[in-house]
Amino acid sequence: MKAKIASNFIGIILVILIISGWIIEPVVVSASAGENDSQGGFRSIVLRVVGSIDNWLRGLIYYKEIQEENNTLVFQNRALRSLLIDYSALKAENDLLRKALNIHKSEGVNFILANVIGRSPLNFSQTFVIDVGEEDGVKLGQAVVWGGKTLVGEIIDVRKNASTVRAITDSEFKAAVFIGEHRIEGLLRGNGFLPPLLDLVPREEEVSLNEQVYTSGLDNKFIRGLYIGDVSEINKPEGKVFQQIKMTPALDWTTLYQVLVITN
Amino acid sequence: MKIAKQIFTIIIFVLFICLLALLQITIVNRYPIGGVKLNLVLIGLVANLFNPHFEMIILGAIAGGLIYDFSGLFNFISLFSFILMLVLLRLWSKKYLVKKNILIIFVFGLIGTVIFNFFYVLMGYFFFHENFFPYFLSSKQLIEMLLNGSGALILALVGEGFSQIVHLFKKK
Repeated sequence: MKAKIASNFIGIILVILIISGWIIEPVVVSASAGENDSQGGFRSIVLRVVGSIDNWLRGLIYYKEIQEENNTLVFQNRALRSLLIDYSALKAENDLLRKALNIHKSEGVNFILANVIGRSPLNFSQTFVIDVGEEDGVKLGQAVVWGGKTLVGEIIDVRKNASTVRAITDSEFKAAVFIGEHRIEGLLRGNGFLPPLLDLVPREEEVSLNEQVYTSGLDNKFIRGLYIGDVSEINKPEGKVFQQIKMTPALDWTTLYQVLVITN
Repeated sequence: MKIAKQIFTIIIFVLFICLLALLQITIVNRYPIGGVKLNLVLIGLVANLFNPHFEMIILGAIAGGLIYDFSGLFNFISLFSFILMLVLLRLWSKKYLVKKNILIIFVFGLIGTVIFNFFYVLMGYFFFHENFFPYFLSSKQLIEMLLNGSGALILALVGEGFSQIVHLFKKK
């Protein structure tokens, strides 16, 4: 009697489970209409359990093949990533050259693309070495720019296949500049690790913060209009003839990997 | 066998100094501390100043100085400044130092920085018309002295600790 009740109970439960599977299934499917889940309810649970057991057993049987496939995929992933790095570098170089080409067309300025191959290791000089030299047409005093028209420095030493560039922050760097739209004349002087100074600007001149500083060409050293940076601090000390102006360079030369040398 | 061991030690030391020089021109260059850069080669050389094989330190100075010069101004000032600094420090230590103490390395780090910078500035001025005096006379050099002195002391302490451990293992 007891066995019959138990078998009936189990039978009822099974029927409920099966029915609930069929009933819940359309509810789940309708609830997740956007997803591709065609399974639902009890049946889906069973299939999932069976599927995971199947996967686990397959993993055990085909362990070596899966591991080899994984290694191949990891290798391919790395290769693709390295290609992506190359792509990014090429894109950056392409953008730089495109800007240079535009300037070349519009203003007749000639450029040579150079890679930075070394930076001065000591505190004294703010210099770096590039991989173009005498053979490429580089000469002493030529301007080094980046992004088309932002001044980075000047050539101070030329070898056969390499040149040394003095950055605008070097304490020996000097250039005649204009400040702002009113073209106030000044002398840019590098100041080592500290912000460069704008010297010889008379007290009566009105210089504002964030005004652009660019080469004036009056020193016959650089062409006119090379952007250098922005005014960051202005002081007018009592009893002094000139203002004390500091500027923020437009770019940090220590982060550059490529530059352009203006050859004319 | 003894000569082979000595040659091996020299090669290892020179490679160590080259590694320091490479670290200087790549990583240290990008991260100045208090506005100045450490001089790793100087630290490496001063930390080994009491080494009995002086020729080994000179070879290290040549290697480190050449790497500095090739990545800088191509003028070999660093090379000669390192050698002159080492010779002077060695002579002074032989003449005036009564007892060797590891803390002396800190003082040698300070003095070594001043001597190296002094020769660098002088040679730059007289031979290449480079005016590095503003840096030499600025307070920045004091920071560099402190950094290099501390670096040399730390490196010497690490080396001492390492040699003590090796000694203990050999005893056992």
